[in-house]
Amino acid sequence: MPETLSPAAQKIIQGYLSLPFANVFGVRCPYFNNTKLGQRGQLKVLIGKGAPKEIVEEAKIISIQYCKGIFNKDGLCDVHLDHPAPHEQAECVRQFLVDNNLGVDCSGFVANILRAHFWETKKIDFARKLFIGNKINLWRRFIARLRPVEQISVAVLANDKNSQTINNLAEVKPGDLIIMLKTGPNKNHNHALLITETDGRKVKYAHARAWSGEGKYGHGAAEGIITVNDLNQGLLAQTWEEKGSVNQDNETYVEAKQAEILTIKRLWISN
Amino acid sequence: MDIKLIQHALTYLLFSAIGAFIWAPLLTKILYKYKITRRDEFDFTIKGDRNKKIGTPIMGGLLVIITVTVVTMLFNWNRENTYVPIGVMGIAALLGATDDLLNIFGKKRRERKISHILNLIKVHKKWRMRLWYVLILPWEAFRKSVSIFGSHPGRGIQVHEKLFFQFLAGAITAWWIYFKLGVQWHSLWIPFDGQVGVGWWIIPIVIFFVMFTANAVNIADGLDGLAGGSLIITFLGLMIISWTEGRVSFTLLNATVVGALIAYTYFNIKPARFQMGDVGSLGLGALLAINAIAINRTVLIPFLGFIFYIEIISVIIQVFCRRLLGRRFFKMAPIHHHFEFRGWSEEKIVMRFWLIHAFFVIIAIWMSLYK
Repeated sequence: MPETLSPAAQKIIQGYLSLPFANVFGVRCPYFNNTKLGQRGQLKVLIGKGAPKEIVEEAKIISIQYCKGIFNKDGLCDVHLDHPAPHEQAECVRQFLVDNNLGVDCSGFVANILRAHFWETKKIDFARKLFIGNKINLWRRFIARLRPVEQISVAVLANDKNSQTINNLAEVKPGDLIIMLKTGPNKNHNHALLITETDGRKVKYAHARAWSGEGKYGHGAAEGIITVNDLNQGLLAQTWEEKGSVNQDNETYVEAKQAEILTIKRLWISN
Repeated sequence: MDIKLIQHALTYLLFSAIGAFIWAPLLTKILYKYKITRRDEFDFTIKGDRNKKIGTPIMGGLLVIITVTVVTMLFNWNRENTYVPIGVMGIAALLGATDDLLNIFGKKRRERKISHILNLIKVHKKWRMRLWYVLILPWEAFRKSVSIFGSHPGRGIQVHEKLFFQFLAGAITAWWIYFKLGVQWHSLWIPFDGQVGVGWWIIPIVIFFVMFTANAVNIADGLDGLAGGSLIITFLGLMIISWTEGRVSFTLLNATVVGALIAYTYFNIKPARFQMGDVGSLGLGALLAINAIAINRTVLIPFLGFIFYIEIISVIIQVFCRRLLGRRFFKMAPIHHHFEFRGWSEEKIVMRFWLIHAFFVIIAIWMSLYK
């Protein structure tokens, strides 16, 4: 019997994979990282940290407020009503989300899922339990108390005060994280995958990512599988499969390979 | 209570209403002629029916401001009572008019970052310019600190400039109350409890109420008929309270405002022939506060301007939640837009808000009778 995350966490993952719009189905949540725009003091949904429901709500509000014509006053999708092919509607909505900077980044994705998971399993608000950093001033500490999810980055998750390293693939459990530090061609960003299901031979993961080959609108939340070929070998020796692409064709694998530090981490809170 | 006074007041009300009705078409024509109309380029309102609002003249509040000023100057002009209310209303209206006109005809304002100014202070080759940047630095810092409250700085007057001029209007009122009206005004009337001495604290209290109320009315002016109808109810309430207090000049002034507002609201009900604009909302908001303060009913302002206060508080809550908690409290602020998102029609929102407002104004009148 495979081990999985709690039902609430799985619901959030499904929410990201198919955002809960009332009459449009199959809208995958896009990837959005606030680093370039650098918005501060903004709604959490506009800086890549929103939960699926918040993204849906904000999309409706933006559409109505700025007269984009995607949703009507009742929150129902208003596009392609004459020829309502579901995939066309979903694509339209996805483009709208990308154009309006609505989406989630990898740490926001992980944080929202784990928040639901720990709340359901341990009644703990995991975001408030994490160690954010020593060097922040009193004001930042205050803000961190008020907006905990926004303070969670991959570096925070990877911090030894928050998580321990798992060296053996056989010990991996749902809720563990695959952390990639200083990755990408320029070694300038971090990434995190959340392990959602394990059965000893296969490790399923979910994450929010933007592959370079997917263009402007193709990125977003996704799931993949790592098939464990040899328990004694590291992560890169296993078979990574995502969106029909295996290993070198799988950009997540390539990113893992480029990472200066690639490790499996388990949050202390889950002990 | 003086029946003759109320007869007199109703005459002012009718005269003012008829006068405003007569010149309203002329105002509409002028606004159309000079294209002082609502543009579609930067309009955060809802699609569909609201699209019809594009091209509607703004600055319709001039109908009330000018009618009230002229009638008061001709028939109710006296140094002790009406100089300052009309003067402060004029300052606030002038500020609003400038904002309205700049929003239509102005250019997008350039904003310098504080770090840029600090750099210029260090490196500018002319010492005069370096001195200039040192002098404007506090003002720019003030701009930056209040910009958090402004949603989208457009072409009009910015938040920090508005606050400065509103503070000026509040300060003039406070000066008048504290230094000109005598020692009896250094206390606040409290319902069911009589007077409480506040001394010089009356100055910040007055400044706060003038600024807050002017902005509150400004924010409430977002749906056809909402601000106009609510202001009629408020000034009617103020007229009744002034009458019960035997304040002749203020009874007549409030009656004049009600008359002009009836004409304005007639043309402002959906579909509006014109909209109030900042010229009307800021001017009448300031006048509301001053008239209440002048008849020593300062503490009743939140009741007399109930719906305006609800509107501005909804904006404050929304900004607080957005900036500090990172989420929305309302779907959209001010609160009338929240109800639009909930599917209420414009008419339903406006009429329900009128009724709620009337209820609280009646409470204010009832409380004011207990001395």
